[in-house]
Amino acid sequence: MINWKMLGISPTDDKAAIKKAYAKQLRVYHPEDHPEDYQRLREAFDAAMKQAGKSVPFVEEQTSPEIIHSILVRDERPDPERLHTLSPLSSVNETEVLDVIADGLEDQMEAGGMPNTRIEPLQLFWQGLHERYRDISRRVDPQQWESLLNEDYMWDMGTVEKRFDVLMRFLAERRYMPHDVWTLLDLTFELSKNLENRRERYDNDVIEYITLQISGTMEMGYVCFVGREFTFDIDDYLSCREAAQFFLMRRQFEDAEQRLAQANELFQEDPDLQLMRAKFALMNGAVSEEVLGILNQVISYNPQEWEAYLLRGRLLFNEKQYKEAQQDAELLLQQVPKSQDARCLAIECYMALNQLEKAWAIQNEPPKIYFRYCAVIMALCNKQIYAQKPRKKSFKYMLGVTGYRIMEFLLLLWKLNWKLLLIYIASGYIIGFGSLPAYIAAGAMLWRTWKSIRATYLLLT
Amino acid sequence: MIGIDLGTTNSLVAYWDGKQAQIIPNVLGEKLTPSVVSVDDNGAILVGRIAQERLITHPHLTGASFKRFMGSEKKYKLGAFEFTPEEMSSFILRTLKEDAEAYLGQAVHEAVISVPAYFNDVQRKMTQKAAELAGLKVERLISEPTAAALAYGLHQGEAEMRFLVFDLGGGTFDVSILEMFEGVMDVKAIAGDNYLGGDDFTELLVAHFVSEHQLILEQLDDKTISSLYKQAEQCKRSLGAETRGCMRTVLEDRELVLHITKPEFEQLAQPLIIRLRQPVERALRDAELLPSDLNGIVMVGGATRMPLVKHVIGRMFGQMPYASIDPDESVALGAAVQAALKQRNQALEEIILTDVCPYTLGTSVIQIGAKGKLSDGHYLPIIERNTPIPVSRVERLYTVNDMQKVLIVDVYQGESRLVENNLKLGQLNINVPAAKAGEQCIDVRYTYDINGILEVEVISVTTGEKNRLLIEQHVGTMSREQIEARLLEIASIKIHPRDRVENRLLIAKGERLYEESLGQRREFIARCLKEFEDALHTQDDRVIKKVAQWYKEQLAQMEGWGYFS
Repeated sequence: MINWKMLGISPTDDKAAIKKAYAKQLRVYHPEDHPEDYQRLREAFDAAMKQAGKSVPFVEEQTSPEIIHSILVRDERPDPERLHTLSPLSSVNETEVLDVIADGLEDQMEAGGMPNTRIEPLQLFWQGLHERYRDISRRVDPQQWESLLNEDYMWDMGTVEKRFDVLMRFLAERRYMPHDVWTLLDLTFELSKNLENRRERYDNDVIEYITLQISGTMEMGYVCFVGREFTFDIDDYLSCREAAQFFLMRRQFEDAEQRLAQANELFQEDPDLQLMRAKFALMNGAVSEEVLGILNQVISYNPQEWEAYLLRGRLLFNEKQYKEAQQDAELLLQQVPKSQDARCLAIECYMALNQLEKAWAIQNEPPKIYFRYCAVIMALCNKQIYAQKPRKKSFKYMLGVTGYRIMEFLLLLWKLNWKLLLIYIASGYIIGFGSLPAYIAAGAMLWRTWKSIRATYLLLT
Repeated sequence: MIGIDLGTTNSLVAYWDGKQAQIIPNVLGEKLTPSVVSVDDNGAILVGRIAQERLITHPHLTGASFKRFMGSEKKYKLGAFEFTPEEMSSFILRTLKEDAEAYLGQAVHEAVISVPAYFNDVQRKMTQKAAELAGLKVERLISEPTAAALAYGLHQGEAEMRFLVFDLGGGTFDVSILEMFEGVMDVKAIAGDNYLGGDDFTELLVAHFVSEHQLILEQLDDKTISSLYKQAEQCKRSLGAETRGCMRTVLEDRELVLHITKPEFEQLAQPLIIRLRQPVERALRDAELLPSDLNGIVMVGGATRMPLVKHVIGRMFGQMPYASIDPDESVALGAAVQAALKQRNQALEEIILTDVCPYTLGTSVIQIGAKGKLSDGHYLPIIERNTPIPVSRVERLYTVNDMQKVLIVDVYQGESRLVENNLKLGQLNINVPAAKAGEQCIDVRYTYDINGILEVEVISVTTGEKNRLLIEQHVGTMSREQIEARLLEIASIKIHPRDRVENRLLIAKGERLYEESLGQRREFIARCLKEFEDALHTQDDRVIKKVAQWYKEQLAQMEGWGYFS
């Protein structure tokens, strides 16, 4: 309902008349003096203008949501299996006329809303996207994308909405690009913000995929592809790699194994893939030599893949090749001094090689409670203390030590069980000292003692 | 009543002389007063050009670009003093007020102050506080692009037109779309970026210089850094007119030079340039307009002088007619026009200005999803962005738990669907009688006044209990008495006396040149400085004037050298 009374005119579609009436009434209901009346006047004015302007094309464009073409069918939950079995797009798309966008435009051209010149920048944008995507060396270079986003046709202000549609159409085909490129796209198009408000306009799976990529949780390297020629479609490989990562994260090993094998068949010299293979092998209890082989590959492809060094070091340590493990640990400590895993490994190596001084030298305060680190440090302290013990063991000394141990044990027992004893005695007074409560109390005490002894044992070894 | 443009790099003050708005020159006769504050050896505050010179010679006693940190916790340590950004701003305002009083010959108590359109509630409140500290009553906060449009639109007569104001200042970027008809100036949409401005381009050059010479910015001392910034600023300006620019600085008695060509600079600035697009797109979208619906583009802010920025506007709007207004002065002039409008000046009775709010304001709600599952943290917009102001809206909220006794109303500002990504402005609690879930409800009223300041009121529908909140976060850490005490403290800090400002400036300039140069030139400047200081000591006005004249010429010559040698 439009408040024509507020505007002081009878209902009309004449914009000029509405504006004139509004301007006149504004002098009566000045926003400065009559804020509430102004608000009502303003609402009446906006409503009247909106009704009068219903035939204006740009309003229509804003309000009619259209689902943009998508290869994905709508579903309640995204089904990763289905997504990853879809064949990646072929290169046909690049020269394809933007049918959907052109379709949308035809109606408007009939209505005289959008001139022909509007399509051209969109077509150029579409091509620009594909040109960069097609060539893997250009695809992984954020500067290439930056230059695209600064092309003249990107500055055309008349096609903002449609340009977003084109981008979404492009991204709907599951794109594999480095995180830097995703970040850049997010910055320029405010992807995360805009997508939130347009959930009904685009496919939910696509939106989720894009959000995931922007968040960077699935980030993987692309450097290894630069300057190479491929006989197969690189996107086939990338989709396998991503699926493998997905399944590995969810611990769906059978699916992961299949993807890893597929990817490995296509291309081997990708440190990220090989690292995943190594992890997979480790999680499935493969032979150490095999895992070591893979890890060596990873390191040869990317000498800065620190995670591989850590895994290799751990593996070598478990194989009792302490010297080699120690080398890895030392390198890691230099490169990533903050890693507590690396520090742990180093300390353990030194301990295994009986270089206690060195181990002691690199221990430090852990920034947060880290169980393995605490355990290792405790073990180190014990070793240190035993190492300082006099070599000669006189009988008296041994007796002293044993006495001390026994005392310690009794004290521990007392500390653990005094409450139970108290309860036993108290309950004894009330219900009488039968044999059953005594058994129960003794059982409970034994159980507690056993638990604490086991915990101490675990911590120390 | 005066109009003040409190800018990131420069500030201006203007007034309405009965027929038109005019800029009031400062004590040095200049229209622009640099927004820089410094403390001298006697603990007096220096403002403007002198402070700007001291940015290089006494960086630890000087602060600049504080508008960028308005509303944040940042503190400026100037010698023994410690100031917040709004206190720093208050010194600028006090100086401008004194300039205006000297020029108009009467006391000034009220002002219209411009703020970036995209300033949020907290930043606006801080600006008001700065004025309060300076002893000025803020009659109105006006958005910068709106002010510029007002100054511009005034000369366009009765014609009906729509235009876009592109305001790229030192530290902020605002876009506004306005429509003028029948004497009404109607702001249709506002968008912007609070952290994008001319300074970012300067910083880019500094970063480039540092990386080219393999220096580490954190390891350079304050003096080198501030002289680098000055050089970068000059280089940026010269790149506007010439095809190449150059930066030089003295480091450990070594002169470092960097030449940069225009295309190189354009390449460097690409990421910043791309950031100019999104706000323009959003403003057009919100106004439901196409570029072809616009009659013109008004460019405001010193940074729009850069050819790079002009080029971008050309790319966006093609051969759109540009408005010819002074990008530096129009905001202050517009603020003065607004001051006159506020006073209902006869010559201006015709124009009425209506503005919009730049952000969506709302509250946090719990959503009941499928199967009665509750999920919290959802954003319920109450006033959508670009709603005409003043405006007041009510939303009814219900309890979600049985026997719930208290409802908490969080006040948020922002555009995200989830409140965690929006800015929290404050919180209100209200008691309701315990009852079954959904039986009790409250009305939440958001009132956005004409200054762009928010008031929230909640009313329990059954009991009629009321609770209101004028958002005063961040100020909240100080009690009213503490604020009063601080007010007195700030007021007691002396600003350097006006009558000796010019000589002070000459010394500051000489000191800066001395530090910037080497060898013979340095000695020569030292001699000139000595001569001038001796003249000052005579306290004979005639002698001082004569020597000052000579000294000024020498300095001007020196300054010129930098470009050629």
